[in-house]
Formats: sequence, structure tokens, C-alpha cells
Amino acid sequence: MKQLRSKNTRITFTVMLPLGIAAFLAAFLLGSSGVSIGELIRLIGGTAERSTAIIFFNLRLPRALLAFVSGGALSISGACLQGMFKNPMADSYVVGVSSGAALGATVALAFSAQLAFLGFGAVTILAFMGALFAVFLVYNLAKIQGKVSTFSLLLSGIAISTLCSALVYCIMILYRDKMEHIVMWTMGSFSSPSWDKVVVALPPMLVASVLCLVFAKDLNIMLQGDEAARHLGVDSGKVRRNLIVITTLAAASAVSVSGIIGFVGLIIPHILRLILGPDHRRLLPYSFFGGGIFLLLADTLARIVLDSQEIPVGVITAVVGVPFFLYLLRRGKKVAK
Amino acid sequence: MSDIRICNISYSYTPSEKALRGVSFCIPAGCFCGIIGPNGSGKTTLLKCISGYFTPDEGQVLIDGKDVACFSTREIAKRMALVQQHASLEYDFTVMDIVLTGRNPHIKRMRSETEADYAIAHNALECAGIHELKDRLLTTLSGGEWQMMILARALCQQADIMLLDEPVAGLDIAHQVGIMSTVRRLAAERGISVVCVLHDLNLARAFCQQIVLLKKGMRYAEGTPDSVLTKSNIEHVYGTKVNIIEQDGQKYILPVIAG
Repeated sequence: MKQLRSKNTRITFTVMLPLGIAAFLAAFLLGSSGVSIGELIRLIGGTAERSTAIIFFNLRLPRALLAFVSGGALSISGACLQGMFKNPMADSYVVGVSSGAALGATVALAFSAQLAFLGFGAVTILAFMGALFAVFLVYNLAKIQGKVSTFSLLLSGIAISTLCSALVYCIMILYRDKMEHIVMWTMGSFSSPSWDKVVVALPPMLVASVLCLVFAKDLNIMLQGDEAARHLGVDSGKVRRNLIVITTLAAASAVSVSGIIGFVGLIIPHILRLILGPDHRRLLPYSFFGGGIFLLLADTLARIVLDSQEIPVGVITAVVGVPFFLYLLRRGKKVAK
Repeated sequence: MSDIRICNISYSYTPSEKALRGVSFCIPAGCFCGIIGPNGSGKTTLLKCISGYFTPDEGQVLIDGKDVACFSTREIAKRMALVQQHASLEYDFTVMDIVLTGRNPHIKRMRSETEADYAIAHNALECAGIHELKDRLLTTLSGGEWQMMILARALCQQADIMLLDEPVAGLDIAHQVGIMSTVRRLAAERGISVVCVLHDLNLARAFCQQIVLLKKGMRYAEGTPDSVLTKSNIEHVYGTKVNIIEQDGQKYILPVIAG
């Protein structure tokens, strides 16, 4: 089994590396106002036309970076949360990130809030704050006598999410003219990339992803139960608290610049767990790169699949990702038997 | 070698009812101590107080004179190993993966296991007599093999106190005796103090040097097996009639079954 695992790891690595490069190339080259390979090479040489350079540097590159790092951050966060809750359904969204962000964004869109900070619109800022506030609320509601159990956290996550969704619907009914904007935002998209977004959202996502790796071994040990973990030198409560802060930072940053992109945090870690086994020291880094590649490819598809307009990337991740995931899940079960 | 002093501890889950009421006793270093009593008498609560997982409402637990509440998580892990009742884990780790986690308290953050850690883990597997299982997946282990693995993990920790919470519950008699014998042998060899919650009175009599009998959260009796496991004590605490029979110099406790 051990040999099989390390063989699978080698295969995954040799598949992922060229796939990652291909995903970036596809993101640069494909699309309505195309940049050809020749132009890309000239671009590196600094002799490309100005219009090509503008498309590449102002649109394609920041968009690709945002999609890749958001996918990675959502995926590594999902892997951490599934590990620490010992629950395959967990990701950042179950503790309130998505619904809090949706409520924040909805408020901004409905009231056409005139708020700006570091060149960001009200939607980004309020989405980020909404996500943080929702998780803060969920965490404190779940805290009973200073301890946070998995059960109470997931349940208060569901409760707060439901409440936020209800408020979103309520605002949508009251401000029907803004309904389309709100719906489009909640489906997630990278359609308005900018370097401001890259500069502000990328560092927290990258830092949070690296910090997740610090807790990889603790997560392995926590699977054995809180009390057992304590006797193996791991304070599960403390690790959980730290990881909630870290993963919320990552997911809230991703959501605030791109809207709610579901499934990445669920599917990618699961697929990799089936292939690589449950060791988080291996699972977490591969989840980051796997999630990044997946979302970058999905975003490219979202751009090019229809001539007339873009499809929300959240739709692509679901339509493409879910059948593949279900196939692997069923095949994995058969192998296990 | 560590001695454990339990000083007048009380603990309650709800304000109205106390699970432990003023329990005191001492476990000398290197002693094999059994905690027995009916369901709900506070055995596991007492063990969790000794390990510091629960902080007693009153009283304290001292290990070599130091209050357990003052220990850091890492210190706890270096001093005390825990073997819980069998519970499965549906993740595809290998036996070696789990046994190696016993080294965690000795390894700095972000560092990997060294050759020395692997050597200790191999040794622990051999002491538990399950070296051939090292590459097996958890999902393929029987209950008895699982408990042996947890025992190997505890040995790998090199702690001088071992806490066991019903380690043989639900196992066949061969594994019950096998695990208890292994614990007793290794504890004697390495000078480990053992605190073991048990349901089986005959196992307690056979393996423990000291026995604490609990009733409704209070210490009912404490001392050597022969002094604690008397007919009147058992009938009084458990409320059921028993016979104590002797065969080949060993005493056995048998419940009287009507009809």
C-alpha cells in the first residue's frame, strides 16, 4: 500500500505539472480576442503590439492568477476543514463564508452602496466583511462553555447560512431591479479582473495556504479523536480555532473577488484523497495545486464555451466537476470492496 | 517512574449531580492500578480527571507533586499515554502511520520523523507482537489487532504513565488476556505506572496490584485485589449476588444466576 501511495504521488506530480502549465497557456491563448503563441513569445521578448500587451497584462494574466490562487485557496481550505471536522461535507462554506459574503454583496448591490477602499468597490468590501462576520457569529454561537464541538459548529453554520440566505431573498424581492446582478454575483465569476484585486486578494490567500501546511500533521493526529490527540501532543481546540481563522481568511478573500464558486473545496480534496490517501502532509499541497488547475481550466471554459457571453464559472465547476467526482467516488468504492 | 496522587477531587457534568465526590487515593510509581465499579459510577470521569482532560471542580491531581492542570499539552503527551476503548477510524492510514504518531510529542513542528523515531516505532510494534501488521490498512484490522496497535502507539510515546479506558471491552478472551498480559509485562519491564478502567472483575483481580472500587462517584474501597474484591463489597456495590470460587490457587468471581 505504501509503495502504491508513493507511486500514485509520483504519477499525480508528473500529471499535475504539465497540466498546470497547459492550463495557464490555455488561459492566455484561448478566447474571443485571442493572443496567439507567436504573440505570447513576442510579448516575453517585449516586441508585441500594444493592444496584445494590454489584453495580456490587464486581462488575461491577472484573471489567470486570480482563478488559480482562488481555486487553490478554496481547495486547501476545504481539505483542512474536512480533516478537522472529520466530515466529508465540510468546506469553508458550511461555516458561513459564502452566505455571509452573499449577504454583504447583496446589501452593496441593492443599496448601490458608495463605499470604496484601496480602489475596491463596495461589493468586494462588504462581501469580505460579511464572510468574516458570519464565521465570527457561527463560531461564537457554537462555543459552549469555552469549547467548540464539531456538531454545534456545523449546526450553527447551517442556521446562520439559512438566515443570511433568507435575508438575501428578502432584499432581492424588495429590490427587483437589482435581482439579476445579485444572482450573477452569487454564481461566481472572474469576469472583471484587475491588478488591484490581485494585489489585495492574492497575498492573504497564499499566506493562508502556506499556514495550513503548518497544521498538516496535527490534522492527521486529530482524526484519532480529540482526547487521543491531546495525549499525542495536539491541542485540537487550539488547532481548530487557528485553522478556522486561516481558512476563513483564504475563502473570504477568494469569495470577495470572485463571488461564490462552489464545489472546488469539496471535490478536489476528495479526488486527491482517493488517489493519494488521507495523509494531510501530502493531501494539502496537492489540493492547492489541484484546485488551482481545476478552477483555471473551468474559468477558461466559462470564457470560451459560448460565443455571445460568459457563463458563470460556478456553473462550469458544477457541470464538469460533479459527474467526474461521482464517477471517481463510485469507482473508489468498488476498488475498496 | 511517576507517582500519582488524587487529592479529594469532585467533578460534575450538571450542577445538580456530581459524577465524582471527594475521591482521594495514591498510585505509587510503577504500580498497576485498576479502577472498577458499576456503569455510571464515575470510572471514566475519574480517568479523564487524572489525565487532565477534565479539570476537577474541587481538589487536584498531582503527578510527581505537580498539578496536572499546569501541564502543557506536549508535557501531558510526554508523560501520559492513553489507550481508549476500541473505536474504528475509516481512513486509509497504515498501522505504522498510527504508531508513529506516538512520536509526535517528541518531534518539533514541521519536522519529520528521524531514523531513531522509526527504530522506536519498530521496537514498539515488536514489543506488542504485531510487527507483521505494520503495512496493513486500518480498515482491515480486527478489534484485537486494533487495540494492539494502540498499545504499540502508547509504547512509542515512551511515557512513564499509561492510562487505559476499558482496553479490552468487546474483545474475545484470547485478546483480553493477551492485551492485559502485554501491558503488565511491559509496565514491569519499563517501570510504567498503569491506571486501567476495567469492567471484568476477574481480569482486575488477575492483573492489578491495586484496585479502586467506585460507587456513585465515591471511593468505596481501595487496596489490594484480595482486600477490595470481597463477596460483601461486590454485592454491596453492584447489588447482585456473587460466589467466589477457588481453583488452582486463583480466585474467581462468578455471578449467581437465578433459575
